Amino acid sequence: MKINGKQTDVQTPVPLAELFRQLKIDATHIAVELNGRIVPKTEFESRSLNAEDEIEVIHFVGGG
Amino acid sequence: MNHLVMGGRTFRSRLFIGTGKFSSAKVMAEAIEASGAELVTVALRRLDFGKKSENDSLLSLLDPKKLVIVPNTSGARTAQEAVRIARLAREAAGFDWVKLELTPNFTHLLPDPIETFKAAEILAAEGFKVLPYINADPVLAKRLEEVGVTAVMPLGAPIGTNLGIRTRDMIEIIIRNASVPVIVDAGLGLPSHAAEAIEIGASAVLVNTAIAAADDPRKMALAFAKAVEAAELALDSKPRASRLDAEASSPLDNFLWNK
Repeated sequence: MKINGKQTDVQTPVPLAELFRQLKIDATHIAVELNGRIVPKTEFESRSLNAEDEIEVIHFVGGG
Repeated sequence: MNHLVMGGRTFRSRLFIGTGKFSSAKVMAEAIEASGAELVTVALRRLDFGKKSENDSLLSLLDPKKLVIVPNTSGARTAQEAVRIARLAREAAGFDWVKLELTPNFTHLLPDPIETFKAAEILAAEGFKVLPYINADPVLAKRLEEVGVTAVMPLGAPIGTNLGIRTRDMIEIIIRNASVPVIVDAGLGLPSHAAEAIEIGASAVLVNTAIAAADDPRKMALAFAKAVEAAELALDSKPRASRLDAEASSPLDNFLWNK
């Protein structure tokens, strides 16, 4: 699976929320695009990812 | 002094602060606290899975009860990219404010007026409170008002230059014609620059580099807050117009100049 532009080894299929738990990512203030489309937060638990998926995980940083 | 009302919120301070470039999130939080600012900007980037950076705690240090948090679209070069960032920010944390920042050229970081306008039109229609960062162009400012932006943010000078207000005349024309708040953004390097913006009638200023890159950001944030407040007080006092001919402050009669 491609995560933030990098090919990453992940056991699939895996629900998005489970992937975050495995990667120890706090999903409170992040946004996710799955193959170019935003995944609503309410679907983090239910949305399953496959090996050919590309996801972008975005968070907040300092900015002017 | 009158509080600023914008986007349905009331702001007691007319100093807004950008959260970039601080040496740590803790230093940033202390500077914001010291300044009394009630609006801050943040950016969005890819999460770096490799390292647990201090930025992870950025939002945990910004209290949404005290602060309006405005994501910017920095890094975007097209309206499409800016719209994408705004939607991601809304999904990530429910923020419905957005500072449009569309800078195709990384040398001067000046905003693209055409892409900014297109993005503003789309996002305002989607219910975002849009704050477009623009060159000090009075015609563009009016066109943006027409599509429903919440405020306009003309630049004083290019981002991070600390040059002060190099666009003063154009900003004055924008202010004179505006029916939305005018926030002077970018280039303000010293508290006196911020005071000048308020004195010419700007509703607020947004400062980042000048505070974050100072040796003591907390102290500099406080200095900016005091300058903004001083300028507000001065405006409230209704200053008298300037003139070329002198007018003595001390009596000139009844001693050496007896006529």
